[in-house]
Amino acid sequence: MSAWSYTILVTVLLLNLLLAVTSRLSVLIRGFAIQAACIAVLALLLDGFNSPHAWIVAGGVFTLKVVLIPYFLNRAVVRTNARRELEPLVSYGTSLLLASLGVLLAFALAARLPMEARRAGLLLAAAAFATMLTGLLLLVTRSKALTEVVGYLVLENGIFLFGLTLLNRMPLMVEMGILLDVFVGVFVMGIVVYNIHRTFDHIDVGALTSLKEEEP
Amino acid sequence: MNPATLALAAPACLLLGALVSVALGRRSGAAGTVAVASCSIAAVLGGASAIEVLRTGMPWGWTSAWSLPWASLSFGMDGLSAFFLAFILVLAVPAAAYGRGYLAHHGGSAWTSASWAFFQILVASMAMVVLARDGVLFLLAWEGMSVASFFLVIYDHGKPEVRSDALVYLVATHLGAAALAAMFGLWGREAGSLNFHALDAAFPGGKVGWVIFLLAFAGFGSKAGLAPFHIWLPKAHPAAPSHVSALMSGVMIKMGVYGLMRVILLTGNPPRGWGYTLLGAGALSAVGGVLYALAQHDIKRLLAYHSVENVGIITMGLGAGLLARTSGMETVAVLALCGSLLHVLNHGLFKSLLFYSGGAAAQAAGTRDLERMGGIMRRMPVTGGAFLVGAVAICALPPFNGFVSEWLIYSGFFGGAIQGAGAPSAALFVAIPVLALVGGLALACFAKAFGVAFLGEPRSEGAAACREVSAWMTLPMVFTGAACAAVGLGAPWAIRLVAPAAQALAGIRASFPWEAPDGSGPLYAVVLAGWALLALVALLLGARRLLLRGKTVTVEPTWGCGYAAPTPRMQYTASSFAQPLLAPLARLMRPSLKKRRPKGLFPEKASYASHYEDPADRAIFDPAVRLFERLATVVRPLQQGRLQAYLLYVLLALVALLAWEVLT
Repeated sequence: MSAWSYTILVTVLLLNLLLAVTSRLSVLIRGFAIQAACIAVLALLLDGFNSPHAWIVAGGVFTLKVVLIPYFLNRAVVRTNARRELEPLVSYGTSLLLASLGVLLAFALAARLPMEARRAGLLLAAAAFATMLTGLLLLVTRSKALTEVVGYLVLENGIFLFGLTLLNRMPLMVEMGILLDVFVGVFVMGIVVYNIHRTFDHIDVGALTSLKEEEP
Repeated sequence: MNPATLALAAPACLLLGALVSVALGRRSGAAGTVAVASCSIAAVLGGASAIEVLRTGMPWGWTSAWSLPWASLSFGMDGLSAFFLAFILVLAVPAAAYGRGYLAHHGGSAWTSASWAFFQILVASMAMVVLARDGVLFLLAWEGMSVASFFLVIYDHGKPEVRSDALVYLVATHLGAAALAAMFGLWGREAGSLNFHALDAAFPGGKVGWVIFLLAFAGFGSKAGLAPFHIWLPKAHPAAPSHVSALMSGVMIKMGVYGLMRVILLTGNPPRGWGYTLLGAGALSAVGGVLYALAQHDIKRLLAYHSVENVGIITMGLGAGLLARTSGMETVAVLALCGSLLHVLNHGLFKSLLFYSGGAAAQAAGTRDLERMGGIMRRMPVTGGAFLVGAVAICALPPFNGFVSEWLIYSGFFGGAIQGAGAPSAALFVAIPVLALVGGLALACFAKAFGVAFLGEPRSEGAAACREVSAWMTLPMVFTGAACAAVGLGAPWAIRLVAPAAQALAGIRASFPWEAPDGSGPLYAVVLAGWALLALVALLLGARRLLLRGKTVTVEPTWGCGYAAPTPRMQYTASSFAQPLLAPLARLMRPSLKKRRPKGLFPEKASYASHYEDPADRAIFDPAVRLFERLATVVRPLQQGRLQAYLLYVLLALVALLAWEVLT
């Protein structure tokens, strides 16, 4: 693994912390897009620039996650007029602390993986776990539907990063399947966000509590 | 064509029919016709295959690899499967035809078409159950059967009581399926595979063997409706449309009997204790079933309790067969097992017939309550006649089929009691009066049901306005009624359907000497008695006609005992008919009675109402539900309705798992 790869992985880890602490939706989306771009480059770096497999995967990631999805998300931000996440369920400081703990757990876990999975190095597996945990953290602690969407996307970044440790083994079809999954998922959530906005005049998923079954 | 292809073509044809039915959408009449057609084709295909196997005595098996783990696509047919396959597919045809008429007035709806698809899926999965030779395949087919029948039961989902009854059925059937999965798991662990060939060779004896048997008993018993696992049966049958009740009661619950028999065949040499268990459980179901049947006012619930009773009789025969087998009395075992298997067929026939005619009467009268019927015989002669034939058959009276199978079971009991020694002989000796008691009570019950519903004067406007139903519904009654008579009058031939299976269950490899005097001789005598009875009836009818010739016959109303204004409600009711029989048992059955006795010299109002709650409900079902509700209240706070909370559970579980992985 080259020094460039290490730099990129450290960037991914730092971006995780940024995602955990930011309150601006536009920064959140940009952070996610940069992270996805890092991953696309990493796919090329790890697999060599002359492998068509890596080019297809990196191209797919770039088109979807760096260009298309951020574009749609930004449009949604403008449309729903929700620029900031004002009411997180835990404070930003706590979020940062939790995300850091997640990084620790990720390293501890990566060190225990079988050697085969660490072929590409300890840091890659650790970054993958940390990214997944950050995604989950976003999902759990934020209340705006748009932040939730970004949470899913970050979670998927982590899964994809983990997939990179096995890039040669993971068939192209599976990679493409995951990408398609994400795309469809975001598409559906986009519609949901729009409808929540239209119905409740805001995009706070807490309003979905009213869908709960009544107490008997 | 080879029998394997024919047999597997039958479910394939039914599934194709199901697809077509769904595709027909709102044209549900056409969907019903498709179901009738696909059931008929499947009956011809499967019937031909089964007859081939029964005739040649050559079982077949077919195995192929499957992508599912621990599973293989294994099918096979022996005498037992052949009998059950023919039984399922042939009885599905009149049920489909009857349903085609029964659902006609519901008008075209996509839900009705879907219901027809579920009907065909149910029949197909029952066929797969008896053909499967692999544990996973068996469980899949079993599950298909349970789910399809659930959707059939919930046909009238607009009514809240139908929804709750169907839910009880769904839960009960899945508890049974869980027991079966555990059974296959335990057995498969011993055998190293879930293929029936492997299971066959590897039945563990001792305690593990008993656990496997008890799991099979609970799982198959709950499908068969054996007490105390019968809770769902009196709820699901009245809730379902009548053709579905007929198919479920006549055919589907027999899959539980098939399962028990299959397990016994696979174990090779079942211990004697199983025989006692089955005989005891059968006796409990038979007596309990008929007593609670006697207490019912709802005609379909009454018939459902009779299913519990008849499954009890079948299981008694099976238990007696096992006892005789383990005591070395092979002839006795074959007699009892033949009776048991033949009763499977017979109950399928007469119970279908009773559900067809009882359902038609209930639909025409607009009520299932016996106390609001009456006088239907004169308004619906075919339906009434069909119910009468079914009632005579289910009461095991000659010349119909119930008599033959119960006679075989009786001869098994007597043979075992006389030839054998020790405890098995004593158990069979006790079984004789039990079966006699059941027969007597069944007779009382059907005298009540037929007398109250079909004779006398109509007790409600609905009953007075009854009209005979369409040919779609009467023809299946005629068909099954004729089949009841045919099995009863042609028993020496009908016995060939079940003889191979009974011999295998009795552990006899060589052919049983049916032509010898001890086997078929009495059977011919029994059948001759039936023919003689028929001749006598014909003679008496002829004599009546001869005597009345040339005389005018007038019909007058019954003498009203001098009352000034008699009403049809003064007739004997179903409750009053059953009361003298049930009153001595009040301590046992614990009815809730509402009485208002007539008082004074000029009594004004008096009333009597009885309600018999099922003891299994009271002792097992209700406490279980209450316990479950308490547990549910404990975990209820987990349901926050907040997306984040649910995701937090996922995150916490994940972190806990990862931490566990890191720390250990």
